[in-house]
Amino acid sequence: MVENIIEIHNLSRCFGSKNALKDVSLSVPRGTVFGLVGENGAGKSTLIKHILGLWRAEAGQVRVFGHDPVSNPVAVLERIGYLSEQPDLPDWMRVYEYMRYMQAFYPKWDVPYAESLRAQFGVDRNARVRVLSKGQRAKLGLLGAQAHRPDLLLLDEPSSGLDPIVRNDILTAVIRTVADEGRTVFFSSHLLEEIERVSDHVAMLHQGRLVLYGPLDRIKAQHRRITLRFETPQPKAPLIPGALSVNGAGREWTVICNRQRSQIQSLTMSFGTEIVGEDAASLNEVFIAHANA
Amino acid sequence: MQMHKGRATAALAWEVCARSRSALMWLIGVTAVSLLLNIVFSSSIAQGRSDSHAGGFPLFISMLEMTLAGTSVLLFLAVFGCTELNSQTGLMGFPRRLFVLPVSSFQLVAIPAVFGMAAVELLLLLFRSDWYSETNNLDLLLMPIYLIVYQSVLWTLSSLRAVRLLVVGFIAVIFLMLLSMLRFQGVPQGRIIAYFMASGVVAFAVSWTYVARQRSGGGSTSGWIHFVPQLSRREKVFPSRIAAQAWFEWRRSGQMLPTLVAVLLVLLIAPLSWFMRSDAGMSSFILVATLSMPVLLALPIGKAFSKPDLWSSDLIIPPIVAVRPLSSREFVLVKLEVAAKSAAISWLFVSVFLMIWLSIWANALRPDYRMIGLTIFLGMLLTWRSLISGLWLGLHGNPRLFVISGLPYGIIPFFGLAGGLWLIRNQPYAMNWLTDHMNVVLPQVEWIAAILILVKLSAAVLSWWKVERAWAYLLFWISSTLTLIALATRVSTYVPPLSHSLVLIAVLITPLARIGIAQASFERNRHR
Repeated sequence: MVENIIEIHNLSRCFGSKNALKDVSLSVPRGTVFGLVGENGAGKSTLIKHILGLWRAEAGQVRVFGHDPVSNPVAVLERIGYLSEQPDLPDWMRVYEYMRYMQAFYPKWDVPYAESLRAQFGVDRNARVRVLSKGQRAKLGLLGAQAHRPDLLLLDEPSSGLDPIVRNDILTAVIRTVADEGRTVFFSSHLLEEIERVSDHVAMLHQGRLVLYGPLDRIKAQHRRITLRFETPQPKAPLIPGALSVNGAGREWTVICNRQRSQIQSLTMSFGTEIVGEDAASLNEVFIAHANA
Repeated sequence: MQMHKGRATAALAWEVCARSRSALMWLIGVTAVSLLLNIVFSSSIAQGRSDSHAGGFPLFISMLEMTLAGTSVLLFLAVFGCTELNSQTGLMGFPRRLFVLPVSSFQLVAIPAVFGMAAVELLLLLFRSDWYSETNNLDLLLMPIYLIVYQSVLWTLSSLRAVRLLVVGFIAVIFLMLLSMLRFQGVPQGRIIAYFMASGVVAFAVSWTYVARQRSGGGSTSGWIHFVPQLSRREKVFPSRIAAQAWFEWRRSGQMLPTLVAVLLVLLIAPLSWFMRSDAGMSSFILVATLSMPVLLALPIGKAFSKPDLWSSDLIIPPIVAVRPLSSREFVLVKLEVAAKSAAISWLFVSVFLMIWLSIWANALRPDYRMIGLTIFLGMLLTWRSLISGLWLGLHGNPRLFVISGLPYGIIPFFGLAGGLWLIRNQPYAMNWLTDHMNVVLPQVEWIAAILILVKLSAAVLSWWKVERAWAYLLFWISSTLTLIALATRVSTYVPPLSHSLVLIAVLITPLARIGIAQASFERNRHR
């Protein structure tokens, strides 16, 4: 039986009149790279803060390593490595001081590994944190999150606003972590190609609701992009039951569908259209289709 | 071209006002009320100021008018400090976005300076009652010069953050002391003016150079500012996470009080004690000021220390702390430990200074060393208490609660000053009243203290019930309270009527309930 590192049941959270999370349930199996997708304000950071215990569940339940992160923060946090979009690093520290400081909190801190990461990321050990560039700060944050080889690496939009080289460095580090040691990574992003590149499980949040959740391969296999050709030009998007989105103009329309392909096939026959193309939908198309559905 | 320059000057002057619009509105409002009081109650205010036996309404209204005038000056300094938050560095300093304007660095610095000087002249003229006084003529010159120095400190020492306020306060004291000393030594007024003007010119040149340098890429901040942090650089591995957090807390907030105490001892109290070494009255005053300084400084610093991060205006637990595997008990214990270290080092500085001063150049003093030792012990405890007593409010994370809890810091000095003045002016009457009513007042004090003890113990039981118990702290509380009770019993042999009150007060001094509440506050703030 697969052990779940994170288990969330019917989690809801409101900020005033806004529902930041609505009845979200998901579980993250050990050893997976779990990508959380969603537009800005979808509730990704709120969900991550619940996992860290920084937000108290208003309704529902959050369990990390089997513990409630609010009532037992130490047991949860010492097994988590966390990096946020804008890493909260103490500007006044020097890099080596930051590494010493972090080392004290995590018994499993691996000094040679931390040093190799620092060298790999090209961060000067004597530099003050305040003089580091944005990319270097992100790398130092990742070093702090990763050097104790946490059971769960939690990354909240880790590469947002960074250049492609730094992004690649961070993704490589993520992949290596998982590949080398079979640990779990949970990371959020709105960069879908990033999620698609490294994740094996995906969850999609839209306006606080979980609209899609499961192994990436299964999701990609389920979602198809079908190109239809109508006999006559269509003045507006044809209503196709079961389709998540319909885009196009004139005679040719592209349909993104989920599972009901056979249904669409029979419908197209009744519409008098023909299928001129069919392939796997990209995660980007799936995301947009679900967000607009 | 000339027209463009005029427009740029006007725009920059407008910018100074627009940046602090609400403070400017307050400044106008407070100044107007103060002037109105001056007009409507002119005779009462004059009586309150000049008549040393004045009490009641004249004393109150003159104190109120003085407070409003003082508030006007503070608001004025807030408006014309001309600082802005740099989001990249998180520091309040010269507004960097002005660097891209097509004006010279000289203009950038000179316009707020000149505009501020003109405004301060206007403010002083409005508050002026005796137009031909020589003293006031000098004030008209000193205040604008002080403004230039003030702006220079705010702009060039931005990395010192809130400590700059103490620096400018210190410079204000130096200005006043220097003025008194020069006058006392009979230095001609023209030369005094020249000295102060020279300091203004130097301050302006420093600001100008600094802004010009920053505008063209800047340079590293001068090394001495980072001297103190460098003393606590960490090369070794921490033995535990509590040790790591204690180091973090010490670097962030703990070293503030000892640094300030050391600076004031070296730059203010030591020179003053040397100059006044033959004056018994002044020497006694300096001794009292030295012994009370750490406690007085710990009161405002304690307010900031009680927050999750001393330097941040945000009361939320910083993520770097919130996501560390550290329990609320450990975090609060770290705060208590750092406050204790801070108080101990501050008093070590005071003790060393007193040892040197009293044995080498305190010619006019005959100090009672036993009393000084006792004061140092009590002072250390009170300093520590002042640093940590507000933890339960600061860690709670509620800005409204925090601001309301800070109101006494503004109100108590006003009423304390008024009450103190009244007591000084009516000392015989007050002493007679107290002697006559001692048998009525004392039991009431004892009852109040007893009720407070009951409240404290009940709150302690309730607060410690819900959180992880810190047994080490409970042991500390018991031992420190027993020590204080023993001390109170010993002292009460000199004043037998006060024995009960002293013992009851001794039980109240070391915090207990609020430490338990502080843990609950931290938990609430961490898990919102």
